Amino acid sequence: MLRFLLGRLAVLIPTFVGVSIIAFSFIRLLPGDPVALLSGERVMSPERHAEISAQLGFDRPIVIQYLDYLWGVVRGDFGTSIVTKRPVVDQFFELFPATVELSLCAIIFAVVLGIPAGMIAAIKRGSFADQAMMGTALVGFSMPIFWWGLLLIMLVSGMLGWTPVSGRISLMYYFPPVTGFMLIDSLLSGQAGAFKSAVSHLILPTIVLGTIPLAVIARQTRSAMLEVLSEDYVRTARAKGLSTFRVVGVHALRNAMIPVVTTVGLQVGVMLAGAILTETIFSWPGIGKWMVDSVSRRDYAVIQGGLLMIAAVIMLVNLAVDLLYGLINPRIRH
Amino acid sequence: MAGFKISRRRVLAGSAFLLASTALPSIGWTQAKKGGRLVVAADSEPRNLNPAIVASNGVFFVASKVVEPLAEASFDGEGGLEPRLATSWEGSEDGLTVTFKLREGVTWHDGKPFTSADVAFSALNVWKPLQNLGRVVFKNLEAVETPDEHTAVFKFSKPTPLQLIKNALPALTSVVPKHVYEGKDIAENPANNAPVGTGPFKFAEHKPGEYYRLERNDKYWGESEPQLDEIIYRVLPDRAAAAGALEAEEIQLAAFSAVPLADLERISKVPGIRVITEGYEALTYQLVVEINHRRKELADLKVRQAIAHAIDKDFVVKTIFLGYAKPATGIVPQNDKQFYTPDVATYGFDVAKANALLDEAGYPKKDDGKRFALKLLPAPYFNETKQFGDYLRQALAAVGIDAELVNNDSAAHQKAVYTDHAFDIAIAPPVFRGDPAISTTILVQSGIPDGVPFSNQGGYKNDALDALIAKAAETLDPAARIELYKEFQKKVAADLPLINVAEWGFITVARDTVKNVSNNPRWAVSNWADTYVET
Repeated sequence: MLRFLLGRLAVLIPTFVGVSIIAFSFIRLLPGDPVALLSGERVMSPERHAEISAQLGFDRPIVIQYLDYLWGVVRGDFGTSIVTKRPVVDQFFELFPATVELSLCAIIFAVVLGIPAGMIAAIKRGSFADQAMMGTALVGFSMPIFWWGLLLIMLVSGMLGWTPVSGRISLMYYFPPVTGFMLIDSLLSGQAGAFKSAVSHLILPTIVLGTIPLAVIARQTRSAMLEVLSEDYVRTARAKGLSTFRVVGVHALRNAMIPVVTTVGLQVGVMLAGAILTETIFSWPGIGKWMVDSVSRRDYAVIQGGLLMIAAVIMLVNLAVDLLYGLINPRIRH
Repeated sequence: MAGFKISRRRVLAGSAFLLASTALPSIGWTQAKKGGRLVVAADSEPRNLNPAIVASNGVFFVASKVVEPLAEASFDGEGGLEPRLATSWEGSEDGLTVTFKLREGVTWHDGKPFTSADVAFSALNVWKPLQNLGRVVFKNLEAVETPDEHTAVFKFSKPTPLQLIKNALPALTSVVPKHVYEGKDIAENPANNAPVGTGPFKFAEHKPGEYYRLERNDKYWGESEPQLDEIIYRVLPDRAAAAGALEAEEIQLAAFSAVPLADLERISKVPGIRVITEGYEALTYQLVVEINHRRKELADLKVRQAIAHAIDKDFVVKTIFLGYAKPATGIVPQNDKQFYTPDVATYGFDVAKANALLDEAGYPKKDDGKRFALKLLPAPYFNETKQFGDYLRQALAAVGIDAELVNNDSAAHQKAVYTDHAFDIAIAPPVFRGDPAISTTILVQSGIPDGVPFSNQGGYKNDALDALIAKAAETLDPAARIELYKEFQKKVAADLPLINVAEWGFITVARDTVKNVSNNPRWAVSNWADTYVET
């Protein structure tokens, strides 16, 4: 197991360096001059431009800039935003809990609904329930996030008035962040109604962000389940006289879960991308909006630091998924 | 932060009490309607909130409640102005001196007194050298004398028209505190993100991605102002979601067309919500085709005329702006009462004429039906500028000009058009700010440094026009000055250094409970001291 873990970790290092090169160079390929943008409409003199470029280190050869950056990253220094002058790491960890909270809720929503739906569809293959669920899943998978979000806002918030439209909690409540997770902080605050407000703010974004993973997981579970159900050992189990619940829930499900766990892991990456759109629609103050704003300001440090940290999160999630396989299927460990 | 929590509750409790007290029937309408919280939509978070440095509407929208100018625009005030930090202004005969009498008994939000030294510091150290719009108006400002604490005497090295100064007061004269800025790098001062002013509201906090919060300034100089306890700018980057937030009563007001034009018809029918087109009269945006005169074809007046004839302005107004705009006749918008003249060359929609002009200019259609190709860069700042890009491409194709659309984000667009000049035609939304000398003459004047956005970066040079602009800038007699700017409009329309297509103001959508909305020509960027929320 330790060798397996070390092997996986070793692969992460070149991946991480690759991501850092891409993050570093792509943003510099975009046209636009961060120093000129800092000065706004009143255009700075060439001397002042050179002075600020030198302060920010943009006058050095690009390779030196990159190596310097990488050396910083190794020491945990992801640079300082050229707009806000604050360390990128600080800003990231202020905003990231909001994104994590939303993504976790969305993935739980997708798993809790998706796996049972896929199982039922597989067991009742060809039935109306199967067709209805898979049809709905196809629609959910094909739905553009921004459109689905606006539709839900108009219906659920605008016409029915059930849920709020934007933000993480009503502006009525204020408490300093402790964990950064609004659900937990609102409980800790002890303010009456705060937790309920936080939950109601989470409902729509969770549904919107969770819809595509839900559809993917349901379809994946169904096909994995169908495959497993046609295996010999399932027939043997049935022949032994085991109940359907035991056959499906214990024997088949565990084996069917391997591709599903992979899918869930991959969906985390998809989710972080989808979070950018969802966060914009629901004014959710997470890293998505922060990254988008930074691109338009050409805030190099934030973009490359943010990308690198998001990549690190995705890599760690995938590592966790790999380890999880080992638990589900001991053969993989060897 | 614990102290904050308590005070916030107290404010809420206090405001509820005050609101309840106004509901008593025995209290007449003269009773001040203090209290209340206004939640409005903000679609962006400016990186610098100092309106003395960045005089733009995105900054003013938040900062104008905190930092005040010398005077504000007014529908019925004398000369279209209402005094703020200055109570009167007077120019000398020779145009070299303007004397401002300043309001007494005004304090900064940090408790220090406001004096003429603050005005002198703002003018000489901020407006003139740093402000985006200060380039022309304060170009010749040499000194500001402060004979006493409430008098500021502006000394100019060349005659400067009082008319221009007056027209510039609302947008260009936000006064910042000398004691906060002196002796430090002004551009890097933390007060640029947490402004300290004299206005009816104090800057309380900014939570990035969430909101800005302003709180009532109890020591404001205006009698029984402000009415509101608090203004919250809720950051709603998605415009369609802003409409939903209004309907769900999460916000009470969305200015600057934060609700998309396409949603207005639907939302205007929602009970309790009204759509308001007033309050932007002094903030007219212009839809302009910028032309790179370095291109041989475009240096030819006939080609520019042909392009003007190829554009159906009525179609643009009806289809792109859904009627919330006007076709432009020239470089000064029609709603300007001082300078506008309709007596200029006009270019009606006429494809045949456009084709004939292009033939005459020596660019006949080739076998493929095309005459020449152009690179077209629409500004990304508004949906309408991008949509007009799509329209213009088709309109040009109809006369045989093959336009290639290049869509950039704002950083790339700014660099391509205004610094690198890597465009043939571009689409821009400049603002007319009440006087052609503030931000309009620079659209056609030569000699502007590279990189200045919304200025002549198309290499256009017309000595007669430059001379006219220079003369108008020094003409003191208002009537003579107006005549010169009418001449300016005629010359621009005749020579087409750029093509004005349409002009528009924005739309405010508000709940009926919000009162005193749009009651001045720059309402969205004014101080909202008299605005209140009825409960």
